[in-house]
Amino acid sequence: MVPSKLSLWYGILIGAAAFAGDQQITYSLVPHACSTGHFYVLYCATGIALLLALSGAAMGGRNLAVTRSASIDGGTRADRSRFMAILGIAASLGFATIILAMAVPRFMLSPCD
Amino acid sequence: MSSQPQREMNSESLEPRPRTPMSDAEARNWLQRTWDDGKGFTSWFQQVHHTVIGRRYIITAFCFFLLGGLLAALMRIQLSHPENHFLSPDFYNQVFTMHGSTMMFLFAVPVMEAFGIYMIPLMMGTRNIAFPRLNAYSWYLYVCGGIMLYVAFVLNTGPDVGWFAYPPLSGPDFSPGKRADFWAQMITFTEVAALAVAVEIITTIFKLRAVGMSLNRIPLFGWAMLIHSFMVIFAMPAVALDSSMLLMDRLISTHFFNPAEGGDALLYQHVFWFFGHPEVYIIFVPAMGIVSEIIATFSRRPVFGYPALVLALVANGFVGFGLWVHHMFATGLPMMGYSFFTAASLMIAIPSAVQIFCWIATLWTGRINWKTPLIFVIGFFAIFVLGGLTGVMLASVPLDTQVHDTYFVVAHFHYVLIGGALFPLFGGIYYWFPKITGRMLSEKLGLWHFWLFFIGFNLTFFPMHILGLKGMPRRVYTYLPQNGWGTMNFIATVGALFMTAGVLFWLYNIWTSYRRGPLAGDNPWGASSLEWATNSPPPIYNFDELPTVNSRTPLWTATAENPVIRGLRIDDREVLITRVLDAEPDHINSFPKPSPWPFWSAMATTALFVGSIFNGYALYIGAIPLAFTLTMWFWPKKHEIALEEAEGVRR
Ligand SMILES: [Cu+2]
Repeated sequence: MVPSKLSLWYGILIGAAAFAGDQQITYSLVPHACSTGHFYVLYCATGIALLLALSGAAMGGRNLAVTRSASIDGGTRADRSRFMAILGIAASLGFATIILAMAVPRFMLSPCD
Repeated sequence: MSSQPQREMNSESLEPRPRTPMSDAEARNWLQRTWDDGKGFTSWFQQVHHTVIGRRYIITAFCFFLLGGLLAALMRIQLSHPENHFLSPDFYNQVFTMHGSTMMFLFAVPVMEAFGIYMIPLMMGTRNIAFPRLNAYSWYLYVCGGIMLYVAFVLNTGPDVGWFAYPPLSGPDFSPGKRADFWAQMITFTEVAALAVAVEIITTIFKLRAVGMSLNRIPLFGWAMLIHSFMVIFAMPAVALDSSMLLMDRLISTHFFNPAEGGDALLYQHVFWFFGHPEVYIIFVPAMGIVSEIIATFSRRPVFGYPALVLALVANGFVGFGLWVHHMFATGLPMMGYSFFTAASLMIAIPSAVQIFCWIATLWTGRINWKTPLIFVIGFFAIFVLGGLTGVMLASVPLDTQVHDTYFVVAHFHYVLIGGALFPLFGGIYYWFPKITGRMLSEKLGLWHFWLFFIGFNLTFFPMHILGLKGMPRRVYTYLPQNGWGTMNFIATVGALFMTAGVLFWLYNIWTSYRRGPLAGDNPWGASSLEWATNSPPPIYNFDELPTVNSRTPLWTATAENPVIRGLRIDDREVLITRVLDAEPDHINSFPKPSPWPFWSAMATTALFVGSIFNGYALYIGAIPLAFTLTMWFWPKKHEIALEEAEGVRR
């Protein structure tokens, strides 16, 4: 069985999308959080982004399991799918790290200065 | 391409046609006749083959490189000692603006696209780039934009507001006259051209790959150009919009960037750097592709960590869009914004580190062939690591605030751009010159070029770090003796002399090798990718028979019984369209023939762009000839209609 294209692209792209969304949304929510004291919105946005990125890794992991017998160098659909699954896992985990790294200042610093 | 006649692929259409047996020489003659764009004066304006346009692009980009270098030399002479009066302050402003604008918009991006235009269709194993007429159009537009800028400069109307032209300095109040307008419109020219090429390259890589070249087998230069092109599509509209808004503020009194009327001057900087930071990666990513190709070839092994290298390119492509505020740390944004973008700016070092690790591992485990292209890549390692280091330093807000607008920043970005892009590019020229011209460049002159340029580069730009820390600001035309910046500036000027000498050696090398260099043969370096599977220089139809691919390094694993694609007509410009992910044959498409209309469309576009610098109504009036030429361009030709009808009957 070959994983669906959609699930493979999801793994590759969702991490980047979550990273971009997290950056844009939390950045524009800071003034709101500072004026009302509702800091949980920032944490919620980042939490959702993190979960999305990790879901990409999970999807990649599932696709990796499906293509266990394939090689990433080969020319079949399974081979190509396995390559994309690996790319998806690595990209999702990488972007999850970046989302975390950008969240650190939010926990450490007071954003309202 | 949907306007072109298409044929469904089926087993029958893969049979050789015409059915009458034909010798190889005869078939080649047919192909030559079919794909020939013609010679002579009028044909020159109609040519559409990617090797022809690619060669023009490469030569044009390097002409602008030499012009930009000349301007840099003028600046270095002016700054060589305190209170120099070689250039007037006003002229100096124009010179540094022209230098930056030339190098970024007329050299760095176009030259990367130029190599993409020339190499990508060959690497993908097809006969022409997708949308060949658009390709020709983009070159005319690019040339016209560059010529317009330099004509303005010669007429003392060169832009003098820096390569990023911030308002309010570039706005109507502080920059009367037309100088800033020429800058803004040059942006429109080059960005339209760059966008066109990006679309062509993406389509070529997605749809014109050799059968068997599934996504996990695309050469790394192909991946790099793919990421590059997507970045162009997302970044370039931002700057084109920004410069157009600036033009409107100046010409028809809008107030986008005028705080007094409710506009926002910082908006310009946000939009500009949303383009400007990715721009660095737009230049850098193709260079990484070149480095990967060179390292694999000269280590004589497949590159180590192919998936990691692909991932690093993809990550660069995405993260590059999340960093732009680090160019605005000195604008007084909220503290929160700073920490956001510091974190992301530090993160971008990771993909670069992954790539460097993979390259070193490849070299470590390979059998190294020490030739000039590889030596330039080693030079790139040395310089780029230092440039990356100062980049990480600048990502921290306190240091950035301290050295903002000083020569430290100038040193940093020259290390990154010259180290990260120009050195790999020089390597790429030594690597691909044999393919493009059929002759080898001299190794001996190449070494002279490398050492003079490498030493000169470090002499010029290393002292600038110190000058910056000592507080020398950017963009000043001179300084006082008591500032104590004289010695370092003098060393920098001497370094520029070395760099000039290096470039002269390179030009001499090209000149003599082009005429008398040893013949290269098809694959002088023993490389693995498909551009080396055809003659040097390639025939106008690229490949006698379209190749197929059975691994990531096709020429190293090819066997005598490697299948080739048959069944494409040789009396029509047919190419095989394949599927995006697996490169399975999909259908056959007939590619356009030469046409004068891309040229005339570009002329009409030029008239519209230049006219709208002076009068807003040029947009309306200029649209008429543009609409006419575009209509002519897309008007179906008789033979195309006939072909379409014939295909309809066949189906
Ligand atoms: Cu930047």
